[in-house]
Amino acid sequence: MIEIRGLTKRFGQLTAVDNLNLRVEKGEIFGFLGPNGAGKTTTIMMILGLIRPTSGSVRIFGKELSEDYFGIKKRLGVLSEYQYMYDEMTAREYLTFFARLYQVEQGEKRVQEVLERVRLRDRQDELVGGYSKGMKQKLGLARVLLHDPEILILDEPTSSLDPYGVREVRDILLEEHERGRTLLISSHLLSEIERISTRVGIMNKGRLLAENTMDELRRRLTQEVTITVDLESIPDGVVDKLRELPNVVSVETVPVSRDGAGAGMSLVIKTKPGAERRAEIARVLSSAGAIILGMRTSEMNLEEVFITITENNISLLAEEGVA
Amino acid sequence: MSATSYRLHATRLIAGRELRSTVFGIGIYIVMTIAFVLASYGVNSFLYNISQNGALAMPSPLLLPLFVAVFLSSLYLGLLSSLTISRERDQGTLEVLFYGPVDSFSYVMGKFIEQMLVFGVFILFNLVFFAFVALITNFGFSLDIIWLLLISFFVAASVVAFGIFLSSITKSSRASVFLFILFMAFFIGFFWGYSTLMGIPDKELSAGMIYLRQALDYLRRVIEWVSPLEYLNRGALAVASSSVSGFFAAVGESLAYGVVLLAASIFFFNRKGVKK
Amino acid sequence: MVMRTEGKVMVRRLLLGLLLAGTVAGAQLVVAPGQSGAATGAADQATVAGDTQSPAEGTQSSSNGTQPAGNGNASSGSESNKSASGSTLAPWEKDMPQPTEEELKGEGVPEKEKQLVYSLSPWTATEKEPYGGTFVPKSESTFFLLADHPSLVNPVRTEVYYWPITKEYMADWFGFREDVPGKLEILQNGKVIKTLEKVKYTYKYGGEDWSQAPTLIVGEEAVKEYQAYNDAMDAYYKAMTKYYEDYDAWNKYMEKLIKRVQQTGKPAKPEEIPEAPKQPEPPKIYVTEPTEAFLVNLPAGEYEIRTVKDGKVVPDSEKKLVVVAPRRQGIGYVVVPESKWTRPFTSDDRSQLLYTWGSRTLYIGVFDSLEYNRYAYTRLTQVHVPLAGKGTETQWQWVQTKERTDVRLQLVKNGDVIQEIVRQPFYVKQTPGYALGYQIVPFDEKDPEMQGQKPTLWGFRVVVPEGEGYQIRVVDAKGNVLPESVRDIRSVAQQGPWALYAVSAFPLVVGGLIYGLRRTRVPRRKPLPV
Repeated sequence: MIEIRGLTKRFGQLTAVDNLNLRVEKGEIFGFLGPNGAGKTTTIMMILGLIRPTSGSVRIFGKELSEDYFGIKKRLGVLSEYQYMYDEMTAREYLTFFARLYQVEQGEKRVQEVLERVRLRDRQDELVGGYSKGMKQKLGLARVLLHDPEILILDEPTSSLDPYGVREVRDILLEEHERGRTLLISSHLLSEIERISTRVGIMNKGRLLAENTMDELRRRLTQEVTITVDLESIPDGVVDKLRELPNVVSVETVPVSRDGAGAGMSLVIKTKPGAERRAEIARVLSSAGAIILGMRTSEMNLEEVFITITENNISLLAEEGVA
Repeated sequence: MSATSYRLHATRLIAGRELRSTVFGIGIYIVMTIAFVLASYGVNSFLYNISQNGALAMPSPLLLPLFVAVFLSSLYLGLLSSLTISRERDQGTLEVLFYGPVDSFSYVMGKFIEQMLVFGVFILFNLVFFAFVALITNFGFSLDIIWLLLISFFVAASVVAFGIFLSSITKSSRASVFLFILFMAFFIGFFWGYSTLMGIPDKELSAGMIYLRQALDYLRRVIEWVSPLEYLNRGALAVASSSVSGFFAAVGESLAYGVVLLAASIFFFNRKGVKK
Repeated sequence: MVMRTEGKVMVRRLLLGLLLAGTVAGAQLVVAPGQSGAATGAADQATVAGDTQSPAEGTQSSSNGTQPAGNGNASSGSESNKSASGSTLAPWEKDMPQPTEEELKGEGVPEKEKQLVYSLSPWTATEKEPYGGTFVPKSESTFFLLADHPSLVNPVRTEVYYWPITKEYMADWFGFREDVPGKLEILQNGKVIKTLEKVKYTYKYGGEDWSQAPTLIVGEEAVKEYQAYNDAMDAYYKAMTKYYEDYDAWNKYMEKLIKRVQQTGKPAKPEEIPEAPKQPEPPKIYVTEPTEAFLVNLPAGEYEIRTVKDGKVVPDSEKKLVVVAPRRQGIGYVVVPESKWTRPFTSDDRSQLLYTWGSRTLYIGVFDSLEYNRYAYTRLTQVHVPLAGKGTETQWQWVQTKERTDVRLQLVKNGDVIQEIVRQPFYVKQTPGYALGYQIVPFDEKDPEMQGQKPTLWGFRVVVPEGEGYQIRVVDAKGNVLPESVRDIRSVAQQGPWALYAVSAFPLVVGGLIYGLRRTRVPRRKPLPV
């Protein structure tokens, strides 16, 4: 549906998007991730033709935008992060205007349908200027759905919503996905992306660092497993012995205050991902005479992966050949 | 559906939306009231002078007040126009429009047509007001008033095009408004200074003032093609002197001016894009 | 439209004073500072003489030609001497600009330069001053003439200086003047289209009315006219001589008669008292001495001119000549409202309607008018003033060329002529006593108050009634309406200013209604918390 080839955008010395290659297939939900300034909004703007690329091409529905500007635009639904609306209009007037702009058949009826879908029907005659951020977000989504677009491009679609609203929007997006619509979602709420995306792309500093399924990304990008062991005391020399273990990256001692149980110590052991290490660690500790009070393992979720990758491990990713 | 049909459709919708927004606002009514108060002051001044002298000869005394009223209205629209693109760009609503089937041509033309429709409202009010003034003063509702209103429409088009042009080249609504006010203050100041100097006989002018007048005259040869006020002035003079050719020349010139500026606006709009 | 300078008025007054005193010959002429008498050459003679009141004034004007040029300078210099000599200043002189130290030492006095200039008497298209006077100094490359009417151009070598006080060039015609012989070539696009030879010309003043403009007479006719004038003057002087002789004889006889009556105490019989000899009437014309110049009469366009002598172009004689034609022609009105007769106003074309405050009486003068480019028309008579007209190149002005005395004025209502008015003389009668004021009445020579007076104004008296649909227009002797003479007249309604201000607020009322209606239909709720 969307095919990006060698897309580059330079603003003077700054390269906002650097030789981006990406495909969003029909019917998938593509999660587009990246910190501020990563170049993802610039990429979306270039997809929409609102920023002219320095080089490269974007094809939507197999055509470049210039080939069928109005035809392609009519088949896209775009929701931006911030809801820019005409405050002096009512919600109904606002949607009616866009229904006419997109030449939606039975526009008035359709306006009522989408208002119902985002649960704003009873507030439709109020001025948009009086809407809360969350209501505006939902009204924006209503606008996107109004003309039943084949591709939905959504930038932070749940950013201003309360948990209930987030769920509502998520349900709507999943419904659209089930109806065969293609979604390109850019978000910083990685938990949301993790829940609904079929594929994810991660951008940083204009480059696409990773593009794959969620499981594969997690597998590739999770670099460390943290094992925390609570001990009554730390025997001499045990820390060094642990460090000598082949898969251990680091060992730190952390004093812990336990309510009603007096003071104790914890060891925070970071190991390489992959094989199970807990048994080996427990063996070394037991042989040193340590009394283990508890042991727990924490693996990075996507958000942690994302932050780790984009800020610290770009070279690692490059070595893995993903970028 | 062809691209042209899409463009016209979008143009019509954008113009309609903007018109509705302006008509429902209170701004144009305040501006019209101010314009009419100033026009009334002018009319009263004429009445006073006639009463003092017993009689006077002049082109329709309503022409100058009408000139002031339509020029003020044009300025207001120009100011709105100078805000129109940059403000929408600032507010982000411009971006939202361009997510859909809207391109720079349809957007700029929509804005332009909307302003002209608003000016149509101005003209309607002016017609009513000056017809009434003509009636109660017995100055007479001459055809000149209709002609001046007609030419003012084209001149307003050039003022609006000028405003849209500024709006298209500036980064923020503040900058475009500042530029518009700066240009208009300069044009008005120049017009006033030039007219004043021209009205003073040579013998009452010092050498410095004569050189200044000459410099202003040279400058005017450039400004008369740049300042929308000069188009209105030319049109008003053509009406006052019943010059049909002068009238149509002023119409043609202001149309050409508007078209050039709108084309430039679309060009610069495309270059600057819709993002803040 | 004819501008009369204060200086010219002073010259006229002085001439009149000298004439009344009977000291015509050898009178010293003083011209006000800043006068350009010296700058205008032959044409200025015409201007001055044209405004004088008797034939003898013409003689005086002629003597003007012998006085030193640069009158303004001379006058100023005279004041300087006074101050320099340390003599006490008269009270009125204290307020006048005093010469600076530099001026007293002779510094800052303009330097004269011998130049070839063109002395011009351009036709101005006006009835009262048909010929202006100026010259083209070396520094000016272009001069202007009006199209399709002869103007006089004469190349002359003279001394020229710049007079900063009036910001103009002056020519010291009387200090040094040398006519440049040769022919005048007129070129267009580099090709000679005309070669002119000098012709004799003269101005003839007077006739029935001394206020009439002089007539330009050229060729042999000029010489004849001048001869006829001289003959008339000779005859007049002879008659005057005889008159003085007769008067002397009559005087002597009367003295004897009076002596006898005193001695005898017997009154003289009526038949013994002879009638006193009558002073002869002077000629009612004045003709200037014929001089030579080129008579240039060209259609509108741009030309180059040069003086050629023996096949060679005289150095500094090449100039650009722009001949201009009027843009429009029409009928102009000068309107004197009865209520403010000192504040007349003009209506130059039909776009300038006449507005009256209620019913008014107007005295209207009718003029032929031509619309010229303001810059060209100003430069026409002021080439010697470098700054004159600068910056007015794109402006236009109406010039009232000739008062129409051969027409009738019609007052029309809705297309029907309701009154036809003839031109009449009027007299402004001052109201004496407590209620100072005036009254404009038809001029009547028999009225004791007007005996020996002249009409204050001539015009068509129109009483404009209140109401709508009135027009004035002018018809010629055959009853044809003159084009562009139609003017609408509107009697404006007399009402207070507040009615208009009240009406001005109606957009606000409409806007308020719309705004209010919208507000009531669309409730604005407080935003929900985010």
